Parts: sequence; C-alpha cells; structure tokens
Amino acid sequence: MKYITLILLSLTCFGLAQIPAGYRIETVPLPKGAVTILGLCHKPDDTLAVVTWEGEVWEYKDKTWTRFAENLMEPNGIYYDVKEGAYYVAQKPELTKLVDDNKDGICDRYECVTDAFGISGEYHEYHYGPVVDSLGRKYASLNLGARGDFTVPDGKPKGKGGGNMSYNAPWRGWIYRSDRTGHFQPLASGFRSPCGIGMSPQDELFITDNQGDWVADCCLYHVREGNFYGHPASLPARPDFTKEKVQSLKAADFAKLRTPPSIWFPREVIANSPGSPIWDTTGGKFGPFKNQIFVGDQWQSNYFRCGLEKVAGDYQGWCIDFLRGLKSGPVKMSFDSKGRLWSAQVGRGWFSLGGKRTALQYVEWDGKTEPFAIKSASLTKTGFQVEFSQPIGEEITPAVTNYHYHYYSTYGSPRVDEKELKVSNLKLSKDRKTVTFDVPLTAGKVYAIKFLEQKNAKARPLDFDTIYYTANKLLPAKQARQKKPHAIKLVGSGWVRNDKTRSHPPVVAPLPEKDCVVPVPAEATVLDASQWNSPDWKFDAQGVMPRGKGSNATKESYGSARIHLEFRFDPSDDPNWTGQLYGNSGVFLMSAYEVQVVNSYQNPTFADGHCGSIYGQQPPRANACRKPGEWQSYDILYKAPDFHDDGSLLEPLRVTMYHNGILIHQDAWAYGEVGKPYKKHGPLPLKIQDHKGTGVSFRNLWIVPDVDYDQSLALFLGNFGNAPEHLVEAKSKSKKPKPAKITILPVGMVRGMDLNRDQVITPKEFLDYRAKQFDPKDKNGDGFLDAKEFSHPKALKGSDKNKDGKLSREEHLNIFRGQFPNVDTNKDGKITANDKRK
Amino acid sequence: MKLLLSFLCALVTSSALGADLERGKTLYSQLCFNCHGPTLDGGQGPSLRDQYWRHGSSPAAILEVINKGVPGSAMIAYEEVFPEADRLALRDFILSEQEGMRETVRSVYPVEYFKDKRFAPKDFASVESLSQTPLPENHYYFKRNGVGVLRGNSKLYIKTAGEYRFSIGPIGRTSIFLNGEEIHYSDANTDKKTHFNKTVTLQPGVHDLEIFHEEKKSHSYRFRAVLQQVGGKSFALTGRSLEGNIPKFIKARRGEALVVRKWIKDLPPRTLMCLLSNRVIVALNPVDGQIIKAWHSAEINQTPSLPDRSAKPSEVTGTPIDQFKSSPLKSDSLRFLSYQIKGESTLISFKTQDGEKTVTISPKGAQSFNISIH
Repeated sequence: MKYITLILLSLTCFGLAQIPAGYRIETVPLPKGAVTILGLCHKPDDTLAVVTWEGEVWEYKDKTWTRFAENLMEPNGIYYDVKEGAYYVAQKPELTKLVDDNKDGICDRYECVTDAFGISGEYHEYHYGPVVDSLGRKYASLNLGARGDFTVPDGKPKGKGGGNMSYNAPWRGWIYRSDRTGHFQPLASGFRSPCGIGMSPQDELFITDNQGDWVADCCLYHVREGNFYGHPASLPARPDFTKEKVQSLKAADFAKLRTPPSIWFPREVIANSPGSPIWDTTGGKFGPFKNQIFVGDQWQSNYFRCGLEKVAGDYQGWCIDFLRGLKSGPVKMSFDSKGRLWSAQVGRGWFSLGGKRTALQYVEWDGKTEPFAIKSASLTKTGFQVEFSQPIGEEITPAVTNYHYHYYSTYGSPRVDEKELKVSNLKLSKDRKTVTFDVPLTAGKVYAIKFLEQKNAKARPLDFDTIYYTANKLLPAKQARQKKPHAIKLVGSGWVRNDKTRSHPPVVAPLPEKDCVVPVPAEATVLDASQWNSPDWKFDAQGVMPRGKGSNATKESYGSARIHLEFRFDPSDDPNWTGQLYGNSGVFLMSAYEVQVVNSYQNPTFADGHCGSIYGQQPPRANACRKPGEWQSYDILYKAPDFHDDGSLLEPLRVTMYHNGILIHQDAWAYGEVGKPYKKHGPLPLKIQDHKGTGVSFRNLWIVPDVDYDQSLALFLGNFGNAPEHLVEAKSKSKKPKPAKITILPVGMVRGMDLNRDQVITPKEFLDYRAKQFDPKDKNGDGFLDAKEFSHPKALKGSDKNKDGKLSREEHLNIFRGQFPNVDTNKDGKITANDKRK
Repeated sequence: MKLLLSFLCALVTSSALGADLERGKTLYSQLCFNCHGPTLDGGQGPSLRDQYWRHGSSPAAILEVINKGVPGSAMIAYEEVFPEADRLALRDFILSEQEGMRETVRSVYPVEYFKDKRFAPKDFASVESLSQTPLPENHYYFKRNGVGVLRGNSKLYIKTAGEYRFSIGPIGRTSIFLNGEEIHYSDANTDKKTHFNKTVTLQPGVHDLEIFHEEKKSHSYRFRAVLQQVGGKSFALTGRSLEGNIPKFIKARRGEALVVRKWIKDLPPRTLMCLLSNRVIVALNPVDGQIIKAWHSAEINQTPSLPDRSAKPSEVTGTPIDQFKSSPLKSDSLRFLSYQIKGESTLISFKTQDGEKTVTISPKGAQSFNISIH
C-alpha cells in the first residue's frame, strides 16, 4: 500500500515522463552561481547564448561557459543578429543591443534600441523578445501589470471575476516593432501576458498568451497589425479609445472588436503557461514533423506540437502533446545546426511540474526511429482528416467532443457546453496513414478528437491519443481563388496589399483647423505656381490649385524633406463616385512613394487605401479626415531611402506624418515604390497624382529641403501638442509627488475605503465602505442584522432605536457615523495622513 | 542530546551569564563582530540571530562551522586558532542569543494513515515518512500543495519569559505539541467547540515543538502559523523557501565601474545605477538625464525576491550623499542612446539638440564622484 501511495504521489507531483520513440532528452549543466535562465539563442557557429533572470548573458561553447554581459534587468529573450554581429535582449526597461566592440567575448556597449513604451515599476510588466523578420526588424511583447488602478472588471467585483491585470503605463498589453534606436511602432493590442513570441519562416508573427482575466485559456494568436486580441485594459493606447470609454463598454462590445486565437491550448492537458513557438525548419533533422510548430509550457514542463491552415482567410489549427518529463518549464526554444531543440526552462516563481528551479535541456532525434503519433489534423467540409506518422493497425473510431469558452473578465473560462458528437463515415486511406470521418461541425468550437487505444501495425500504442482542433471558421462552400502574391510584401504585418479584410484605421476627431496652422519656416521653399512643371495644373487667384490632367511634378528634385500641404475634396453625393473614386489624388514623395489623398470621411474603402495611407502598404494609425468641402492638412517628415552601391536597399524610406494635426505615421516604412520594389535613385521631384475621381484641390504647399530626419524627428513630433503619450508621460512622471499615507486606519481598511487612491477618505467613502458590509453580514438576507449576525452587542443596543433587537441598514450606518469624528482627529472633515492617534 | 539541552537550558536561564558565556561574549566582541555585527545582526557576514541558518542551526552544526570555516568565504577555520574550550564558549554564546525555531525538520507522511484520526506523535512512529528535509530557513513551507501530512519538528528558543500562544490560520487541521503536550487543536471539518488553543507560560530555554498539519489540495499551500508572546514579539512559523536564493550583493569591483539595472524602490524603473570602484553609487535617470540620488560605501541587493517572481524591489545599502549637481545635461529633447564602461568610469550617451553628448561619471576620493560632459 505504501509503495502504491509513493508511486501515485510521484505521478501527481512530477508528471510522467513520456518521450516519443527515437527521441532523447539531454541536460546541460549551467554555469555556477544562482542562475535562472529565461531565454536562449544560437549563433551560426552553434555558440549558445542564454539570458538569466538575474540579468546576465552567458555564452556556451565547447562545453565552457563565459559571461558576456551582466546587470541587465530581467531580460526575457535574446536574439543574435548575424549581420550586425550583436545580441538583442528584451530587458524590462528597454530593448537593448549588446555590442562587443573589441571582440574579446565581453559586451562593451549597451545600446538602447527603444524605450518608447511605458513602465510603471509594477513587477509583472515583463518584456519578451525579440524575434526578427526577414528585413531585420525586431518584435517584442509588453505584459500588462498584475496590480494597478486600471483594470477592466466589466461590472464584476474585484476578487470575484472582476479582472486583475492593469494598464499602468503606455503600450502595456501591446506588441511592437523596432529596427533602430528609438524606432517604436505599436502593432497590435489586447494581450495579457504574452510570454511566447515567434516569427514564422514566412514572416508572420505569432504570440502565445496566458490564461487569465479576459483570456479564457492559453492560446496562440496570429498577430496582424492593427488588430485587437481580447484584453481590453490595453485599449487606452489606441487613438480611438480613452480609459473612460473602455470602462463604459461591456464584454459584448469588446467581443465584436477582438480577433480570436488561431489555436486554443486546453488547460491542464496541453498548457498552463505557454512559452515561445518555434518552427521546425531543420529539414527533417528533428524527425518527421517538418515545418510544424513546437511550443513548450512553463508549468507542464512539456513540448507540444501545433499546425495551422488558412480557412476563409484566417489561420486556425490543432495542437497535441509531444514530449513530457522535462526538468523544469520551457519558456524559450532554439534549434541548433544539428537540429536539436534546446529550451531555457524555469520553475521559479510559478514553479513547474518538472520540479527544478531552472534547467537547460535539449531534445535530439536519433535520425532513424519513426515515432508513432498523430501527425496532424485538418478540417474537411463534413468533418476532419487526421494523419498518423505510421500506418495504423485496425482503425478505431475516434471519440469526438466539442466545446467553446466564455469571453469575460473572470480569470479563465471552463469548457462551455461540452458534448459528445456522433462520428460517422470513418474511412482509412490506402497507405493506412490517414483517416477521414464526418462529425457535426459548428464554427467557434474546439474539437477534441481522441483515438483511444489506437495502435500502429506493430501494435504499438500512441504516446498521446488526443488532438485538439480550433474551428473558428468552417470551410466556405466555394474556396476563394488563390491570388498571385504581389511584388510588395507587407513583412510581419500579417496582411497582403489592398487586403479587403484588414482592420480599418480607427476614426478620430481631427484638431480644429486653427490648431493645424503651421507658420512657414524661413528655410522652406513655397511651392507656388513657379515651382511646378505641368501647364495643366493652375493656381487660381486665391492660391488654390485643382487637380489637373496628368500628374504634376516640382521642377526641383528633393531628398529627405519636410512638407506641408492642404487639400479639399469637392462634396459629392453621386452614388457612382464612392470609395476610391471620391476625390482621389496622391502625394508622391520622391515621385515614387505615394501618400494617398482620398476622401475617407464616411466613405469606406480598404485599409491601406485610406486618406493618409502609404498606399497599398501602411494604413494610417487613425482616420482623421474632415468633411468634403473643408480644408485639411498634411504635415510630412520623410527620410529618403539609402542604397548600397550594388543597388540593393540599405535603409528604407521612412515617414512620420500628421493629418489634420493627428499623428498618423510614426517612422513608418515604405516597403517599396507604390506597386513595385525599390530601385536605386537619388533626389527626385515631389509629384501630385491625377486619378479618376471627383474633384480635389490643393493650396499652401511648401517644402523644407534637405532636412536631417533623425535630428528633426523629436521636434516634429512636438508640433501639435499630441505627441505620443509615452513622450509626454515619461517627462511628467518623475516629478509627480505621491500623497502621504493614512496611518490612523489599518492598511486593508484604507484600501477598502479610499477607492480613488488619493489617500483622502471623505465621510462618504467611510460610510460607503461600511454600508457595503451590511449584506455580507446579513446571512439570512432579511434586511436586518440580529445579534447573531452582528457581534458587538453594546453597539447594537446603543443604535437599536426602535428596540426590536436588530439593526436596520440605517441603524447599522449610524454606529459608524458616530465613529468618523473620532478618526478625523484634526477635525478637517476628512481622514488623511495628518490624522494621528493621540 | 537531552543532556545537552538541559545543559543549555541551565545556561540560558541563569540570570547572570555563566563564566563560559562571558568568555564567549568576550571572544565574539574581539573578533566575530567585525563581520557578523556587534549585535549578531550581520554585516559583511550573515546574521547569527535571524532564522536563516545556511549550514544548519544545531549546536553541532554551528560548532562545525566555527571549527572548519566556510570554504570560499571570509569565514576561516578556527580549529587551529582557538582552544576547544573557547570554541565551545563561542558556540554557546551564539546559541544563547537565539530566539524562535531552530533545527527545523519537515517530514511528510501519506495522508491515508491519518484519515479520521486525531494527530498523535505516537502514530507517526509506526509510519514511514515520504521525506524528511532539514529546512535551513527555520520555517515551514511547501512549494506545491497536496503533498501529504506535514510533521514539523524544531527546537523553540525562548529568551523572554512570558505567556505565549499560537495563532493558526483556519485552514485544514492542525495539532501543535509543546514539550510533549498538545496545546493547539483545530480542524475545519469538526465542531469548533472541540478545538482549543492554550496560552502557555514559557521560561527562557529550549523547548521541543512539534506541529502536525494537513489541508486539502489547492492552488497553493495556505498554512500560516505565528507564535505570539502576549504583549511581546511574534515569530512566523511558516514562510517561503529561500532555496537557491540567498540574496547576493552586487558590490563594487576594483578598477572597474559597473552599471546595474534593478528595480529599486522609489527610483524610476529605467534608472542606471552607476556603481563606481570607490563604492559610490550614482543613480541617473536616462529618461531626463537627471541624477536622482547618490550614495557612498554602497552596494545593491541582487533581486532578493525571485521566488516572489521579482515582485519585491532590490535595495541599496549605503550612506546617501547630499550634495551633487543633479542635472548635468540641459536639453529639451533628450534621447538615451547607450552606456559603456571604460575602466573606472561609466560613459552614458544621449542625443540632444546640440548633437551627441556623453556624460562621464568617475570616482573621486573615497566617497564622491566626478561628472564631465563631452
């Protein structure tokens, strides 16, 4: 009996090691000292680098550890940039580049790449990454705070499902992109604890998030620029939201806005705290799961596999356990050149099934043994197709259940409406490796497909018999025809050019016209009639130039420049002239890169064709269009592209610009000329486009030639007093004094009473707190407190005016009314830090 | 063992210090205080009065450390330095200063043996434990809940005579035996009337403390216990593991400056802590280029709270420097670019309206620093 107990205990405590045939786990000793590893990466020569919670970077080569950098703040991920010969780490306060100038193996320079996001000091504001796209740009994720004042409880009381993660500083709960000092481009919002970040070989960004408030279960998201992924506390950073607006909305409102995860990871089965996804790009060195996604889980101490397919334009797919029994919880992974999958594992703080505080392990395939596993699953019109890694023995009808989740402010969601489904029409392929079957399909459900006791031809059982498929959508009746990919790839954005499904820029109110007036700088060239080439575009007596025939270009050529211009759409109510035909023109920077001019006021069109978009590439951050008939303004600062001698691109064209005083691009890239790739060029004229459509006019055009983009950027961003929140907040933050704390009452009571955290308790706050205690005390719910329910007999007797032996609400409050003056010792009508016990 | 205990009790209870304790105290104040502090509270070396005894808190373990030292630390072996009587006197003096639980051992037993049975020490004698772990932290904890029945044994050192009582969180069931007598019993599943929690009068000395506790499996272990002297001190009997987490200090390096980024209370989270070779720390906020604070004779406590998922800030120990120029850089638009270490100086670069500027912070004398801008 004792023996059995022991075994049972060890099973429940440490999980069962389950390693597929042909694979083995190897543990690598860590450098001496207290080291807890959080991230790792490989250099091309297989040197391994790890980052530690303690703030160090260690390199491991030829079984020797050397310390490369130290005293960073909780770095949570590392990337080695081969081109630059430098590491990038996401440490809590910033994204940092570690440069070893003299190549002695020790970091010499710690360069701040970007610190343009907020950080309040709350411990849970972790910063994970970076991962990198094919253009070398870095992506990282920003955790919300675990404590703070801005949570989104959606009407539920705190502690009873009322949301716990807090937005304490700008851009928390966002994913951003950066590619050089200071460049910060927020990409997508709605993340809670986005610990896992990965870039697919096709330049698509994926995030794993952790179950909690507003996140029903752990999951994998395909990140698309501009989308919102579910945690509303991150929304105040969006130009169309304020904190007040977020608090006024309900779960149903956020549900309309959010993008669901591509794959849900069932809790307690697959994952509790997933880490970064990694793609098996080893070309078969790691076994028969080529191109599949591997994810590790910090609690489960396992690796699991995922696969994706595009259904009606969006990714969805499956997950299944792969290997169990790691020493600690993997959070970040990396393949070395031999195709071994390494992981940085940590069990500190949250602990892990593996049981160890930290571990560095790799998993290796022997190169020949075929494991028997469910390889993948895909949706069919009537059910599923499931592929096995080996021919199976007698086919078994799978048990299939489906369920969905709640979307609400409560921590996690149970499986909702879970039911068994009838499986029919089971078919096995000739090679005995693929089964198909029919099952009733409903969009928005997770399907658990279990092949209980399925054996292969040699009667070997499966290691893991259940595969989970997230069916956000069902296959459409007619598959859309595959379009040929466009020459311009919107790398890392998750979208293609002119994508009709791309989320539209949020509509925001433009600044009043008077606030958009910019005096013409002394160094500017005013682009009056004398500066333009085309005789078909003419200025009238008021200095207004309607769109003419054929495009118009300046006589002069320009490099990097700062431009101001104003434009006006002729009002039209002709239903045939809408969308891209309502007032179309374009400002062609350097004759090649188009800033779109089109009416976007109540005139829907695709996202990257909006007014202010870099046409076909980058939608504006906000739609700040005025009504047709009103004058509007563009203020553009751009940096000319740089090219290598061989004509290839060195640095892209970058744009920062305001539309009607609203910042709509900040250091945005042009991915190429409008419609075609970059081609080497020098300074070129500014061009204005002629386009089919209703009328457009221009006025007040001027250009400051040869600006230093980087030097001018900060000043330019200050132009309209609506510089990004982080710049404003960072300056004001350090000076705001904290109110002194109330000491006369216990801390817990102060917290309960002083809900606005100003360390001032008014008589109302004092009594509200007491009034709230009435219902919990009133156990029998009769609206009165009797002697059993209120355990201070003297006070009860004293306040029981009508002598019925119990307290009404009013009588109950009267007890505390009398107490306020005793606590308010200095009699100023409020309780503050100045009230002291005598 | 029993003999030693009564011997110790006798020692500690005697109103005046015995001759040996007197000798121990003298030796301590001649030598040991240099590292462990005049009141045993620690300094360069660890405290000898707190709960955490890394190498064990038993009389034998303490003597062993005095005899053999701790390799790799400043604690040398005193075997060859002092005669045995002196070393014993030192040990007894240290023991006489202890308060709270020591020699704590956590044993875990299978749950089913104690089902529907009150905890009684004799029952545990006939069951094999699943594990027995000495806890150098001298308080009880479990990393994960649901592991079994806790049996905790420790020596309770009492310095002040008085009335004591245990305060136990109302979780699961708990029995406490002091010197063999059950003085606390509570069980969330039984009638409250059968529960008791005796207030006991304790004399200075060493007492045997045995705690039994079981609670149902949940997200975390919730047992909380405190020993409270009526009108006096309290001692926590439960806490967190410090395993692998002895707070290290980041100290100045000879001939080399360091820049440390840690979350430090009341400082902006991006602050650069420039730790110079003369043990001066200069805190510079890279957001506005301002120097916020400075200390001399200083060091930084390295993430003392990793088991708390870094939920607690690090601390600076040192003497604040009052007078320094707080804003070396004057610029409306400032962007932090990088920092590097050049020998004894830290170089922090900013982009300003007037181009790139580098603030160099170097040690000056024993307790000050220089700033120059290029």
